[in-house]
Amino acid sequence: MRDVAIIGVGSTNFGKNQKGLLEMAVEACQKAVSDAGVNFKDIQCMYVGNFIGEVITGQALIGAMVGRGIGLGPVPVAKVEGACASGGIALRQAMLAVATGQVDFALAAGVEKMSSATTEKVTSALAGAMDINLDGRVGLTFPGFFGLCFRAYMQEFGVDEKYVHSVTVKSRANAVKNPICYLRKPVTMDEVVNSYVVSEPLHMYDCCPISDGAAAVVVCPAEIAREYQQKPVKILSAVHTLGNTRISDMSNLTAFDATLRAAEIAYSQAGIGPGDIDVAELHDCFSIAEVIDSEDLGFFKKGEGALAAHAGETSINGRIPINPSGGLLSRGHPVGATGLAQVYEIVKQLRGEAVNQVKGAEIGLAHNLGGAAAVCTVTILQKMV
Amino acid sequence: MSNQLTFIKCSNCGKSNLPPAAVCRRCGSERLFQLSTERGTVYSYTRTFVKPEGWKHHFPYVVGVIRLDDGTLVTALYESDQAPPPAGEDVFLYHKGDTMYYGKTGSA
Repeated sequence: MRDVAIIGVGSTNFGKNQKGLLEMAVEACQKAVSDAGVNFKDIQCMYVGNFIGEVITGQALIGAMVGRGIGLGPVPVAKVEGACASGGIALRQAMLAVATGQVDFALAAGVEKMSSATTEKVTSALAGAMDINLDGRVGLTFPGFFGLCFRAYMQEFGVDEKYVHSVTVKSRANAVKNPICYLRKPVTMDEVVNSYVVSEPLHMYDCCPISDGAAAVVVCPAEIAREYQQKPVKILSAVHTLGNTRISDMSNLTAFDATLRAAEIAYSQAGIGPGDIDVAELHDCFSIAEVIDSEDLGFFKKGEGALAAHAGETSINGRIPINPSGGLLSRGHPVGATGLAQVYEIVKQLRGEAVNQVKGAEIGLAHNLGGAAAVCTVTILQKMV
Repeated sequence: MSNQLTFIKCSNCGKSNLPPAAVCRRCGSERLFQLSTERGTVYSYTRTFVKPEGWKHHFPYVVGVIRLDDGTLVTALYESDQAPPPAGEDVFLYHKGDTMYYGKTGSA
């Protein structure tokens, strides 16, 4: 298998978007293809991450619809779905098409339209990722699942909830400078704690907002990347794991097997450890998710992630900057797009072009988690010198 | 209150599986048998204030995660008006229709 590099990235702004699902996807693809210095007719296959497009908008066959929207020829196009990990999966599939030698130029896109439906409708649609005969039947939603994790975490490690809320404060501070983000006003700890309780102990500001958006990435063989992009980024590893689909298969709610396993394999394939990561975009659908993810990825010991965040270790100038973009908490979580929006930010960081630039960033990590930790992708990227 | 809950228990690793389980969902063993149980302790719970479309039960509602004696976690609804029992409390599990519930031991 040959090495693969990212030569183009593109993103819409995230938030309530007037554009429809397909239009947003086309916009992101146009930006990525232009950034890569290629034409649409050079794209030899495309994978589109999307989760609830059909449920919310009625539009199915999304891969083909986006493909025709950007004028692709008679090439392979498919939607890929792993709930919230759909974007990360799309990137890996595009990477594999190039790595195996099937194609030279592949496009990974992700898109979601969520603001056109009621909160209850969106909540139900997302909750389809639960096992509907078990956790779903007792009304478990995503805020419910992570509310359960939050309480379990506080009990197991004796950590006060304010340390977890501090993740939101950090993320919103990062969002101020990032025009892609939906929520860009900073918040104080008091404002987080006084915001509406969604599912105890999660308050509204601990939860990613419902948002629309799209992002896209173009990949090609690393050996020709410099012909197209002055600052190519190499994919050192792109790992995709199956975790648990129901709480009754988990032994606790404070660590996620899908992430633990994906991280182990990704670091091993890249020949590095967590200490070598300069910047990370991980799956902060809720503040407690960022805490658990940061530990599962090896940045902190179990039980110490929230304390470390509160102490500033994950800020842009901290020991391990996490979600310098503002993360899902500020950007929002248009599900299919998130995994690629994370890669967009890491690529910008490694090019030295990020709005919240981490000094000297050379190796970055993107972590995308689907369902109640049912599916995970971990992608490790390196600046090519 | 209706019947005890039936799990598919694994003789190899001891896990209590909920169906479907052609083999043990943890260790893959085919040495399975049925077991009924009705008690555990509270591991975690959350009171939820955003309901999914079509939610017909009480609202806001409490979802709990109950740990059985063998360590298996089970999700269940709590329907009492009393405050939900904290972590570590003994509870009993029961079915109403096809939905699993839990209640404080001694309040059956």
